Amino acid sequence: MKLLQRTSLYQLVLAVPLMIAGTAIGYVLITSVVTSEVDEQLAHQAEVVMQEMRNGQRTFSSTAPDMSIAVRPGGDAAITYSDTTMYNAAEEEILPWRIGRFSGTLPDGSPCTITIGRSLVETEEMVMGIALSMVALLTLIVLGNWLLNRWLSRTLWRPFHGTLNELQRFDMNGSTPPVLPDTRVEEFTAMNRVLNTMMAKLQADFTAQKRFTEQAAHELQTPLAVMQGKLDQLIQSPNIGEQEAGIIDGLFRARERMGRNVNNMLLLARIGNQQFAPATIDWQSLFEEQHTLLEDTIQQQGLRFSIQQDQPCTLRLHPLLADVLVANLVRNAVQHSSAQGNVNVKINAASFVVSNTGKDPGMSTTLLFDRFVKADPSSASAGLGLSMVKEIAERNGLHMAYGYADGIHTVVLSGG
Amino acid sequence: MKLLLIEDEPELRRSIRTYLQDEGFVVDTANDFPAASEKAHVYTYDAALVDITLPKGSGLDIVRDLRRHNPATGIIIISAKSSLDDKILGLDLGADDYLPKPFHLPELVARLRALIRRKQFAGKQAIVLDELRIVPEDNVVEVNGQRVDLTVMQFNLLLFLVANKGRVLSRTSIVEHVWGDMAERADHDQFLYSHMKNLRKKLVEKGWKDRIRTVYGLGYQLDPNA
Repeated sequence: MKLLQRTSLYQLVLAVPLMIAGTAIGYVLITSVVTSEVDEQLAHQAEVVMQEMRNGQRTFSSTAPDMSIAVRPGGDAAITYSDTTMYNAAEEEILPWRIGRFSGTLPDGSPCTITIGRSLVETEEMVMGIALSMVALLTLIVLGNWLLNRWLSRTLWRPFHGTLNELQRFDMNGSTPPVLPDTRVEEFTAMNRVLNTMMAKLQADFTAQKRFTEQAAHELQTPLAVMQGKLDQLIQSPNIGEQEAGIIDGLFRARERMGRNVNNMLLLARIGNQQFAPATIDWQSLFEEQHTLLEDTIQQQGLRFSIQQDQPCTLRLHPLLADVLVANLVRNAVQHSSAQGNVNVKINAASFVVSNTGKDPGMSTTLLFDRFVKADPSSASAGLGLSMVKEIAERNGLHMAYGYADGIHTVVLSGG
Repeated sequence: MKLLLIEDEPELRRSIRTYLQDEGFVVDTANDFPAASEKAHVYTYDAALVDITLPKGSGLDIVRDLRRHNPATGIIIISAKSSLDDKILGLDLGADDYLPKPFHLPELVARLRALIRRKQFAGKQAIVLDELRIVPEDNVVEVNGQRVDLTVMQFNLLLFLVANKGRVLSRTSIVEHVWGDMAERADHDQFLYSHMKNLRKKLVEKGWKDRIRTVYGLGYQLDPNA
């Protein structure tokens, strides 16, 4: 939920009860004011009636429209007001009336009760009108507030959104960190300054880390070469017994794994460091080349390997990276394919898909692409293959998706 | 065959020199840029192995010099700097091959032999080992004049064994040569074993005397005297 939506929601939550309460209180207040006003009118009418009775008149003049006047002999001295309803034959509906009873004296001196009634139709309409206008006013205030907030979030928050956009585009691999500008809002300026420092530090640290990886890997290569040379010489000796052979073999394997890890680390560091210019790639022939290289393995594992090209794929990549990418994809698929399984490559204009039958990796798919994570801990592979594919794809604007369903692993590469 | 080995790491230099001498090469060595530069100017070599990172200079300059003065000299760059730029630059300057460290010595020998074949016989020269005859450029293998049909892998495997005949080859060096260093294979013993078996079977069927020896726990050897 956006900040604006959230503040609007809170305002609405506050405004609705306020509106209801405000309208109710307003209604009660206005009604009581109007009622006392009507009661005054009734009293005034009663006085006029009494005056006219003293003058001996038989009919009385009305001081306001919709008045009914009745005089009956008898009654007590109390003055009472009450609400009632009466059926109006002309309008065929029941209408509210206010009734006042006053005590008076007839010309002959005997007491009488003067009953004055007044229709409340007009006053009720007036009260409703006032209540409605209050609702309208409150609605306008809420609406106005919302519009104001919208405008504020566009103008006041503009530097914030600019910063957000810049942060979303931030690339740890970039050479120069983005510089967020100072703004007229103190808080945003402070935030931008902190972020500037942080981004510069992040990029510097990341570069240093990559450089360290590259240098460390590079420094390891010469001692590894020495080790390899000595081992190659050592096994030429005619006096190697069974036990020594086992030890030497272990050294060979360790050396091999080390060499491969160092190479992969270097390549990963370089993919991150360097720009490899993309070019048009003949993906089908790359896949076919890998197929040829792995032909014997495929035969041995009884795999069915198919390459199907609907249209030449137009994805662009540096030729060396394309080679590494395809090699890793195919090798990974072949290596993790179940025996007698299928490996399928499908090439379309905008993407290519490598799928293979195999068992559930049993781990999160995002983890699968992390360096050094592997499904089978017993395998000597460093688990760098797929992370290499991912790294190459990410660095070159390609999108890689991995999925596992119904015993089939699928890796899709498409334009980003 | 006279070689110039330019390598500053003394232990590696010693290993390579001894190994290549045992292969019958005459090996001259240089441990820094001035020494390498001088030797490259004064003598003529069939091939040079050049390390890029040298004390007091860059091996790339030596590659350029060698190429200018002795076009016939085969040049293999052996470098820990396996960055793509170095490789392209080296090959642009006239190096014939690029072998990133760490490498197997049998791999170096195989590359050297292939290079010298290309340089001196312009290819097309058959490799003959008694009844076995290989023309690498045409992918042709014959036993007693009969064609043997091999897969690409089997062919590469055979060529590697022949280039290093008499040597004990570790399983890792064979696998890396034939399947590349990206071959992430947990257990390539069984894998290599079955390939080797198939290769031997195909050759023996045509009347080849099996000279491939399994060296227990270590690898294989093509023993020409067997």
